[in-house]
Amino acid sequence: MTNKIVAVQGNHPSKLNPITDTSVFLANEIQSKNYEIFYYDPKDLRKFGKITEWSEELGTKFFDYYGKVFEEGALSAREKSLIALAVSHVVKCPYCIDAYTKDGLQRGITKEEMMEAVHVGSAIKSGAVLVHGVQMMNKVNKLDG
Amino acid sequence: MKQLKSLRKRDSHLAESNKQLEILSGSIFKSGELPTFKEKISEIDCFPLKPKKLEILQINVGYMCNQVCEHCHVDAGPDRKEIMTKETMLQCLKIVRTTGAHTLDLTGGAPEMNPNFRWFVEEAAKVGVKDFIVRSNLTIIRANKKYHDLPDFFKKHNVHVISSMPHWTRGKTDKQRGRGVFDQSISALKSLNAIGYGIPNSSLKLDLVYNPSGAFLPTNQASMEKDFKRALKEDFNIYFHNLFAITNLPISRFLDYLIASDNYEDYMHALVDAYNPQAVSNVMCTNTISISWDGWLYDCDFNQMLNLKVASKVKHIKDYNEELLQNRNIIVSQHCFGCTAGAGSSCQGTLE
Repeated sequence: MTNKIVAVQGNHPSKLNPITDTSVFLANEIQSKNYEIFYYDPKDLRKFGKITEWSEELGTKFFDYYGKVFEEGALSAREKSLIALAVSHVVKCPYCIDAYTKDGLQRGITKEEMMEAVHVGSAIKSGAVLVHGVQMMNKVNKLDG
Repeated sequence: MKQLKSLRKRDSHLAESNKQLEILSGSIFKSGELPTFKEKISEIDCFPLKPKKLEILQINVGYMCNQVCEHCHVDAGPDRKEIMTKETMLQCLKIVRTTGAHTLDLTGGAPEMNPNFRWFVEEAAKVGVKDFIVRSNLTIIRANKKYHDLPDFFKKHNVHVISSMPHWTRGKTDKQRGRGVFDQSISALKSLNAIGYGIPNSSLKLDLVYNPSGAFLPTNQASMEKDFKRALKEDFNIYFHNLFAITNLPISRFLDYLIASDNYEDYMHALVDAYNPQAVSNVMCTNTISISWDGWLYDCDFNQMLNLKVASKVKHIKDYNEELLQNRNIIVSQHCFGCTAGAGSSCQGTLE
């Protein structure tokens, strides 16, 4: 919450004075009053199962499929959990990040392993950007080579 | 890494069991946001919860401990002076000789710190219970020279050793159990292995207890056991028999941790969401009697820490009567969700 306001201001959080800086004060005030003004609420993850209530057939099929995907198979449930954590970051799903961080802890996965998995996702994502540089190079070569 | 003190030493209001019970019955349960444990087990006609055949006598010989673990449900520590006297131990022995229970389970604190511990073990071993468990925190074996021969002592009396080990890495173990605990635990496990404890096919049983290092539930016990065995073997050439995955119950220092870290509500939601009605009929209070350092009787070690004495005419070992105790109603509260989450949880691991 603080970060959002600070980002508008363009100051790093550590440079702000929590007493005099109005934005930080407001952020704290909002937090203390527990205003729910954002689209993402961590508590909504608990309601995920209710998706089925508005479309039982599709919801049930999805959760059955989801459960099956994460069962032990050729890959262990532990490996799947780490893959899910990396993908959660790539698709920038806060619910998934919360869920698979917790899942990793439950499975005894260390924070070092989790961070390596996040870097794998990050590397693929940045690689996916960078590989488009070839397209730029092709175009430059065609137009001006 | 911070060094912890017991709630009692900190003068925390949570050192009082009634304060803990207030929290466990308040907020989310009072508002109806979550159902109470009584409501949940009523749905399957299990309220009041009744005992089955008594199988385990669990005796807590004192709350003194050389460690101060972050999540200790006993609030044990070096400052705790509650220690079972020899007189009370004599009363316990009388029960051990006559009980129908096949398992004797000594716990604490660090039970070895009771000055009469060895005498008690020698006397109890003579009775010949089928499974004689001592819950050793491992570090006590390395804590002082006078404890170094404990592995041999355990072996002599065919004691089944069950020890806590929150993780196979130093960082996670020390975070929960205190600085240096991991290295000392590894050293103690090696000394137990050296005389045959935990070695495959050995009759000297060495089991480990895993409980999560934070505000989350344990995962599948079998897969955790596989990971523990692989890591301890590869890194330290250590063997053990079984891993018991135990859920942290929201009482005492773990409750304090949950509240201080703003995890209490989420954790209670997780416990209730993971409620497994099939686990109810096998919860450990249905086959266990827990005896406190001063001889009071409880449905389980957790109820002991919440000072919820058995709902029976017989409340103390001086009046012990197994038949009467078997007719009691087991006392439940919201902490009991910890024993029915997922595959269920008990001092002997999951309930499957």
